[in-house]
Amino acid sequence: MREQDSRNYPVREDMRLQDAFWAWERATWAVIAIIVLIALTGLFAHGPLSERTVAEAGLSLTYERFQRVTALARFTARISVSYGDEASLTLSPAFSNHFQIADIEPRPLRSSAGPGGLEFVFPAPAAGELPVVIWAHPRSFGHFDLTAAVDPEGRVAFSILVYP
Amino acid sequence: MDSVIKSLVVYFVLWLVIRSSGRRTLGQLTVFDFILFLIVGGAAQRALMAQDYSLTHAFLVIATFVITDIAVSFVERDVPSVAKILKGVPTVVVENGQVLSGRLRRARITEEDVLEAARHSHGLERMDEIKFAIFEASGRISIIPKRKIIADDDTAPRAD
Repeated sequence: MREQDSRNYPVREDMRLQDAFWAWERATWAVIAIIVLIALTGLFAHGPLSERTVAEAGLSLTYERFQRVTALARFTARISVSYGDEASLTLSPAFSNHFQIADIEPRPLRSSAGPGGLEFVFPAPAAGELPVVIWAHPRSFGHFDLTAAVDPEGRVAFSILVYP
Repeated sequence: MDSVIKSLVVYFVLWLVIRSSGRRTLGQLTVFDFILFLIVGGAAQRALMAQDYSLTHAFLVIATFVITDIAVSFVERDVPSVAKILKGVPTVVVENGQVLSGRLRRARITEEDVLEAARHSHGLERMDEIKFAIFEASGRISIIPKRKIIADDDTAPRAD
């Protein structure tokens, strides 16, 4: 009897099924290995492919375009300040719907929520750039289109895919 | 609702991953395998609980796992063709003292693993003393010796 033939004694074998299972097992290892390699690139968040910067006029925003639900994510806004002693940053209503802000550095002088979204007002440096770091948790999973804006001009649109 | 759905997803993903890691991991847990399973359990537990540590959520997760496991056991009992896929089938790896090396290699077990099982269960010393070695669906290696061994302890087979 050949090795690949099914035996009926002392146990009833099914070598066709067993061979298929061994093949499936190896295919699954390949899939898991590919998932791990993809994870190293940041496609499942926290990696080079995930980090992105969008800039427009007086605002640049660095964020992770791939995030995981409930995992803390960092948003860094750089606001160009040319005049005045205050600088504002407005996040679209979708942001407050889908993200929970855990911390903001520096602390805003005041904040307000309205139909236009969340507005934060910061003390502005004499001139130059004001870096603002927002730490937030995605509350739900899905694909979200968001915007961030500064006065008097500068509005960036960005989208985030949040994994379950 | 999400407690039940998350539990079902985690149950089937864990089943898929552990099943694909092979019977070897189920029957022959090394210390490292044991730590690996602890980490897998910890990661699954954190994903399941997320930020909801309520008693209700914990009860729903446990209830979903238990009822799914019972449902799977009914399917295994009543549908033999599905049971073969879910549980796997036994494979003969030594036949009349001859090692079926292709099968051993694909099952990722070694001749030493077979000899260890033979020593452990029947006190056998050599491969040619084994009539059959069967790699069971549970991941264990069963040994049928060529001659019945009359042993003086209760755990060994008796020659009545």
